[in-house]
Amino acid sequence: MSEALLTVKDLKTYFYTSGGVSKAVDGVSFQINRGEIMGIVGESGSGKSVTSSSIIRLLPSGAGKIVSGSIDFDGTDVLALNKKELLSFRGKEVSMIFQNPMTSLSPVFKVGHQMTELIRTRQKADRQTAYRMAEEALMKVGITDARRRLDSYPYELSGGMCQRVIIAMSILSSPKMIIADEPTTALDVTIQAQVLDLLKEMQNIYQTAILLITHNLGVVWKMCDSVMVMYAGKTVEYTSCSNLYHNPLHPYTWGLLDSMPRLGSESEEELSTIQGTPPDLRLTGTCCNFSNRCPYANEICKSVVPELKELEPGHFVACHRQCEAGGLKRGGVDQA
Amino acid sequence: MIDNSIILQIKNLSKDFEVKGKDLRRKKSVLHALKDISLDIREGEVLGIIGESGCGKSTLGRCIVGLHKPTGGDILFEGKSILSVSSKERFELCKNIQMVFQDPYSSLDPRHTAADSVAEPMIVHKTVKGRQELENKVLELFHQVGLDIQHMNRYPHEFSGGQRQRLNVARAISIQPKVVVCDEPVSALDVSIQAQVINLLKGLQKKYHLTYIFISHDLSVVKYVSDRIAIMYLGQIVELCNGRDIYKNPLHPYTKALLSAIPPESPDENKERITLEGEISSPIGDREGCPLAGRCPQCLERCKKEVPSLLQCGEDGHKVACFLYDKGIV
Repeated sequence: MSEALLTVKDLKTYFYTSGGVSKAVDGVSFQINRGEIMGIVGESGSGKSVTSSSIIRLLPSGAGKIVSGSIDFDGTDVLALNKKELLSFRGKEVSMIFQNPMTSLSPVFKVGHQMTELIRTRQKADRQTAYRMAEEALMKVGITDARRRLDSYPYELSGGMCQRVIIAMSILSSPKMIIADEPTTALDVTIQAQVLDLLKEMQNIYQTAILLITHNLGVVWKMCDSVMVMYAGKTVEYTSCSNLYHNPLHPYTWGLLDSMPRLGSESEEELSTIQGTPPDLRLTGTCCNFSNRCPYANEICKSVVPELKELEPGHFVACHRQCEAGGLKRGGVDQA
Repeated sequence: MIDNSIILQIKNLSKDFEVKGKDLRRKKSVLHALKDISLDIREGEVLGIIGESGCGKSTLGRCIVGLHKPTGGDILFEGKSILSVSSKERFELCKNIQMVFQDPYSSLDPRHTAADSVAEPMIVHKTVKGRQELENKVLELFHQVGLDIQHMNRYPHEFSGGQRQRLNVARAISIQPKVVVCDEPVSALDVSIQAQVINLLKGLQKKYHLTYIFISHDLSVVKYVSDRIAIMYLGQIVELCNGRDIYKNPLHPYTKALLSAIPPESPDENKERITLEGEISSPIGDREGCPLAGRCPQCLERCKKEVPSLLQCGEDGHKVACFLYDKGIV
């Protein structure tokens, strides 16, 4: 089971803008095994979406560029694929679910048209067979009157329903991996729970690996096996899901965990916050990116970029202070 | 700690919107955004309003500040109706009820500097005399919401989302209102910034003894800030309870389902999911019975015909609109 499906090594994706080079993803490495759900969490601008679009080479042409690194998907070097190979790679091997379900379907074609079109470009099937396949796919994702839904336009469906249609489309060609980029951010809590349950069910049935990108740690706890925390284009912590909850090591992860209000807690205390704001991505790369907000930062943090080190088996952390003898303890310094 | 005097009273408030039919010939239909809402808001409390999109929580907030004209019912501020007053009196009332909007990007005028935006309400309502006093007041407000006074002459696009929301808060409290309606003030912000703004809002509330109506779809945020919580579904309040009780003792089936749908707080937590079948029904057109009737796992025959009203159930003013608890009261 623990066979690597996707291996990303030292991926760097830069954006060339008139204001300078923005280091959106600056040296990210991770690995996803077959049938595993991995989560990437981080604030907006931390590079989580750029990482996922780099994997299927969907970066805006011109501005964004993969500068270095390697992406290996099930034996294929993704960065060496040409245009034609890319077309079959996307969708057949890896498919993607985007944040906003209403805009990822074309508003001018009926759902049935869009689904059969997809089926018929991938395999030889006449119109009627394709239609039947689409109907079956919709039924699999829990849409009850599938026939009627095939005959509706996307605007006639609710957000949750649209996202189901997109999940149905993404599993049509039984891909080995699904990249879900904030799949439930635009949805309400009850619908979010339905969609997440569905994704998990699909993963169970088809043994598809899922790369789940989110800023909601609750979603990570519910879904993921392993998780990577990103901050300003870099991985700060990478470990298994329960390890991250029980034994987080990076100060940024502590801040993230502590700043969430808890439903069950009775305390009237102030929420602890991370002071300040994330750095400008054009100016990063000379020190620890978190050093200006970190209560534990010292001289070395402000002058040397920390490397991602395996502090415990399977637990990677990028922090100078944590690597020192004794390390840091959570809550050791009051955040003034 | 909570003063029991009622500052804002909402009486049988309803708001309908007319929506066009699907094609030109078809008749216009009516969307019931709010249906017969009654609510007392006490001075100095934080009332959280929670619900899914389309349940009418923002419409309620907008009715309170006067951005929508209700179709029925009344809103009383300190015993005086705010709907049937002259425009001059209405203007005076505005001073007491202010609003913080969801989107910090579109709620500031892009052509005003930060200082202009904060000063504007004070100029409009003539609460300060002279330029010097105005400047001092703006400086004080910047300091209070934790903005750098060096940024006073910047334009909104030069601020980050969290800073812009701080500006909005400064502007709302600049004329010392008694009630502030916060419509999803932190939904557009990242987690770490969200905590900063929540702390700011809580701090100001304590300092000035403000009354907040805090609208959000994020239950953990609402629970953290609120003294009392109202849960809305399809234009109606289905449950009203103390902040603590919602987690400990939820009564309405919708509240239970909402709680069970929230992502877990740790990887080990195994939640029992109460699923509501199907989607939220449309608020357009007339409906019979309880709004949740079609999706409720505990639906009774009675639920399909009658609308339950919000009745006292249990201690501490815990109210619920559900026939399942009707026996206890009779």
